[in-house]
Amino acid sequence: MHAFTQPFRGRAALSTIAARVAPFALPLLTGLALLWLAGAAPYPAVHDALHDVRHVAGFPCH
Amino acid sequence: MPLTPSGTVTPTGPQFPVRSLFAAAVAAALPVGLLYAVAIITLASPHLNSIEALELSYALGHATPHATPPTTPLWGILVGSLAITTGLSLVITSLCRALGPPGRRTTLTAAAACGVVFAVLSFRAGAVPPLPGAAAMDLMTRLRSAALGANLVLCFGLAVAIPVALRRLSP
Repeated sequence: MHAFTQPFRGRAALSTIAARVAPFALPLLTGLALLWLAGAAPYPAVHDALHDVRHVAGFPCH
Repeated sequence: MPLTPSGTVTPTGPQFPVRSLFAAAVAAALPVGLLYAVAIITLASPHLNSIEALELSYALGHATPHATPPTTPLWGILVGSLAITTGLSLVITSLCRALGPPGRRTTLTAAAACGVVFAVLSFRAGAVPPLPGAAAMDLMTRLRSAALGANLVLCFGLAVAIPVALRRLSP
């Protein structure tokens, strides 16, 4: 019985953590993607369009 | 996750729509992003243009100097500042909301997170490379001061706006 319930509790704990984290993962990842696109995307067109903002925010250049 | 007597799993944890989290983050980011854009246009852009015009663009980290000094379009500054502000707002709002419902703890977390962001931005933008001539050094120092001012607007604005938006829009 003990050997049966332990893994199940582990899985339940994992799913609890997943249920708690999941609602925040999408906004968090969207925010990180936006930051990468605006600040560090290695495309010259993006850099030229956002040149001043990138330098003011201290993001890496070309 | 607790088990019911019948053995089924009942969900617990934060029961709120993700949409409200996005709404709070965007609501906080919009005014701050506009202020950030105004700060960049008025404080930093003139110095950046002067540096590029003086062919000192290597001081900004450019591998090769631009053939013609670039002038960033106003829409580029607006879009870029809104994108950076929204990105930061989404990250900080998620972290704050993950700690619990809006309250004193989320306010302090937002302030601490914005302080860390300001420290990182200041460190990144604060280093003045050695440049030939006092005029170039002076120009670069002015640019760094302008960048610090704009980043202060960004971080202070988010530290104030995120807790307010969370209290209003996130249940």
